[in-house]
Amino acid sequence: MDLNELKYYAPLVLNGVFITIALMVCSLVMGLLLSSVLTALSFLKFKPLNFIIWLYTFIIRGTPLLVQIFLIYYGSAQFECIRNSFLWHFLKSGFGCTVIALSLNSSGYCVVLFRGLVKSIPQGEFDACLSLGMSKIQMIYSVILSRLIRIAIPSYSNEVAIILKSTSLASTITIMDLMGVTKFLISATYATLPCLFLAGCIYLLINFLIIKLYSLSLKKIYTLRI
Amino acid sequence: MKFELQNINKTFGETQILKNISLQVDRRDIVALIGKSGSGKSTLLKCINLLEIPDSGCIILDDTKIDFSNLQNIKSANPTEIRKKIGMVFQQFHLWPHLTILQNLIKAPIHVLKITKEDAIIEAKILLAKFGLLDKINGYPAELSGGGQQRIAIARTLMMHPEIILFDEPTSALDPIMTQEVSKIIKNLASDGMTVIVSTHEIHFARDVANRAIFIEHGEVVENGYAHDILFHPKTQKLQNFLTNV
Repeated sequence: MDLNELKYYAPLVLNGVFITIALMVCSLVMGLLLSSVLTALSFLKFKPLNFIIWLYTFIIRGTPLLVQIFLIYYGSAQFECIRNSFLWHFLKSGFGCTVIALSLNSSGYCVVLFRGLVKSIPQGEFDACLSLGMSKIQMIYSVILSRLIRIAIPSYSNEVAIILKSTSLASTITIMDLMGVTKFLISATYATLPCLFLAGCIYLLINFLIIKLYSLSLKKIYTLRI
Repeated sequence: MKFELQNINKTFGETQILKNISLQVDRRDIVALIGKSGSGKSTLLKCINLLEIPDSGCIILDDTKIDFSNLQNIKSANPTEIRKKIGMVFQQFHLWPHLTILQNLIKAPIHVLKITKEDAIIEAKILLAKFGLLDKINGYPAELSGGGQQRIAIARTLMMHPEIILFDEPTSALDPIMTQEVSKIIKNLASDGMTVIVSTHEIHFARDVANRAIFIEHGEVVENGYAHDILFHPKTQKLQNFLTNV
């Protein structure tokens, strides 16, 4: 593969990078929303609900992500009711399926992470809120949420890195993300090693930028005095 | 102001922590709850603040009466109404470590009393100046000494203008000079019209601050009366033992 060829393929690779990042951002946002809701629900002390959440995390964490993606992509089309529901707008595209699979997967891990973090906050800090007359809702949004965000950010960086790399599985269901493009380039040029090497470097670069962004936001959060 | 506990009982699992505790407190009283650790002092304070819910008995504060015997759940007791009037300074202070001193002070008044942020900041500054900590206003709790953190915890409670303020073992982490400081603060609170209930096992401190004293052992009130009578002329053998051993 000479340099001219690379120029020719550059827009394709850039597009792949864009799709990879889009997959990651969408999955992170949806996964974060889902896991926040599930974490909040898990503290309602309603036993059947806690069992369902436990079962959910058990299944999500116990099965391979690839299986989950295939099940959602190939499985959902088998059901008439799904094809007629609004969910089909997302499920008919490989992109939608990947985002759903990744966010479900991420939330399965994050619920466990967030629950642990909430439990790591000393009981006395909750007691202090209550003893000052706060309701539970006031306690959560005025004190505990900001506390949680601060302790969650460092451990959540793992999740971001894992999601970024997991997006590569989308290439197995026709998505032309960075990995999909790489596969295409390999079959077009037969330059297996350089293409994979290039893809690896790009993933590394994206991750590096995320880590940088992360440490910047951490600094911002710790020095911010509202 | 009227504050009364009637026959408070509390069990954790098999063990009964509080047995039929009754007491009556008047305005400007400084009540010392004395007893060994594990005697139920802290649990009693938590029950008064409704952080623990007694199994039976009544709490009466002004016109509010909560009867725990026929209480369906804690929500029907409307705990925030009682808690707004009763502040608590915890043994470990329990300041919120991620918030500045100022934020620690203004969160509850803004959200619970619904006062404006500007008013809350003015009030916080007045309190901090009174406690000599105004220069630490934008610092974090961890930057302060134990005594400083305690004064912030007291200020945080005072921001809510409670009628009664509970202190759980306020001297346990302090040196003798700081202990004197705390007695001075507590006495000032009472002369400002507040009622103070303070749990302690330090007799010198109790003798210094309190005008009323209650001696608790194994969750039971053994002696209850004026601090001077109880702490200098104990009637029961149990209290005599306690006073000579501490």
